[in-house]
Amino acid sequence: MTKEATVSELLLKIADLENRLEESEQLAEAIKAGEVDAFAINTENEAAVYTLQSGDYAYRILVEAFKEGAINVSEDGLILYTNSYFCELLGLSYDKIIGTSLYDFIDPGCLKDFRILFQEAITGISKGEILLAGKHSPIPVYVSLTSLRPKLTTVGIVITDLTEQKRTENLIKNYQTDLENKNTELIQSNSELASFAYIASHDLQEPLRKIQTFASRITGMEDTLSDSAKDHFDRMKKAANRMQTLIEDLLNYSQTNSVIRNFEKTELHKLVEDVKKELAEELEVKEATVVAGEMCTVEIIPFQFKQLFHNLINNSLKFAHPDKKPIIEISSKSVKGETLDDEKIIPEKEYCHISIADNGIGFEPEYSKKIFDIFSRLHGREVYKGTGIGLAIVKKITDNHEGIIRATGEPDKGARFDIYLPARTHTPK
Amino acid sequence: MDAVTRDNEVTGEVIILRLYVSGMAPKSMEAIANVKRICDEHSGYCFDLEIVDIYKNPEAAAREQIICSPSLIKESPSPRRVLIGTLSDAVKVKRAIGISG
Repeated sequence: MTKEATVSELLLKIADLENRLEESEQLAEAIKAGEVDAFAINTENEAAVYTLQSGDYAYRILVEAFKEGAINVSEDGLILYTNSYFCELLGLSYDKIIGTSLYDFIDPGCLKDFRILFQEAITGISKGEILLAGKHSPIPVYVSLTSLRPKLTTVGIVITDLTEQKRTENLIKNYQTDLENKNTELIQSNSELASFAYIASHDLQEPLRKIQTFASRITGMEDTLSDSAKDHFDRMKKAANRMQTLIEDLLNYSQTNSVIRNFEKTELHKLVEDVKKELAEELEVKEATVVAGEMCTVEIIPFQFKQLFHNLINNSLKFAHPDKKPIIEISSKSVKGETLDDEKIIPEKEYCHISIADNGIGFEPEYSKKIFDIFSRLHGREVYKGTGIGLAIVKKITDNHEGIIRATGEPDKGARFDIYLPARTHTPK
Repeated sequence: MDAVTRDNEVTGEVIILRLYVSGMAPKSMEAIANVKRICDEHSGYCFDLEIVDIYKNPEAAAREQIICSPSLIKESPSPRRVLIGTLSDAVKVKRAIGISG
């Protein structure tokens, strides 16, 4: 500075000195008033921070270093402290978070919930799951809020990132849904297989067994046969055995293929006649009568329905009353859905109501559902033979036709099966 | 004093402020709330406030020769001013950073 310093230069100098003096005074006052938390000192080019109370060192390191978000918020939501992890979680720098409102980082959809949590926290503690407004997508977090009153008029919040947990939960949920779907498919395909296997073995093995039975009768009289006849007979036996293997293989094959369902317009009357012919022998032995009443024509899978009638008539014969000649009455007619009483019935739809009633031993009404369970037997094996599959197949065939079956019975007063088939307007899967 | 401290609302100049705090220390949190309040109450001014946690960034503090926390520095417009403490005296703070009202 030269001696010729101007007045204005001197004034500036004075102002600068006044400023410095004021700063020094202010520093002294601040320290005196205990307004200072820490000192930062540069010693030999190494920066160090000294707190006035060093006893909190470990706490600070813990809060700063642990992998949970920790923030301290004024009672109007201003973020006064955030640890590094909370910044990391939001993908923002410390500077973008500190001094801003916490509400800016809450997903708009969660604001209402969070306001409630925050209000609760001012008088105590609150916890809950919310979404933070992340840079790219909402971040699911668990927040635990605690009022620091009376020591501080702030709310301490610990934030746990739930992203990983939610992802795992979703994965598990998806797997579960997948499994449930697969399970349903499996159950469906299993019962289809059971039904197909039964039909195949039943229908094919019966004529085969006859061939084998008659063959065994001839076996005793082989001497009466010519050499060439003996040769033919041997070949026939071998062919029958081969056929048995084929059937067994076919059964195995059926387990890897699903049944193709072809719906055809069918006269129920004809189906019943066919089944009567098939069961002619059994009907004769039991001196049974099948009364076929009014019948309609429906779109069904013919071979399945033939099986259904076969099983139901067989069932009536099996459970015939010991003192009565069996009378089996079959009829079918078209009805409106609205006249029927069942939760599965669609009132606007047209249904074909098929009824099969007998005068057999009947059953206790409480079994009217259980009777259709696979392998379910209401009677001991020694009294009535059977596998317990027959009625399960009847139920399955009805299900395949999207129909409903109901069984009603009373001991000694006969059983009655009512089947309701919806009029087909679409081709099922 | 008046010769160097201008009202920055008139000039429209950006007031660059840097607040140095030390983590969750109570005085630091108080200082943040006080500075924010002053900035919010004077929206006619253009503030550029940066808050620096000296625990997270001790090098910055030493570089700036900050010796106490909390400290508020007015970087611009010149002259540079330093205020130490909780900044609860709003009149003093406003005078130091050059805002009136």
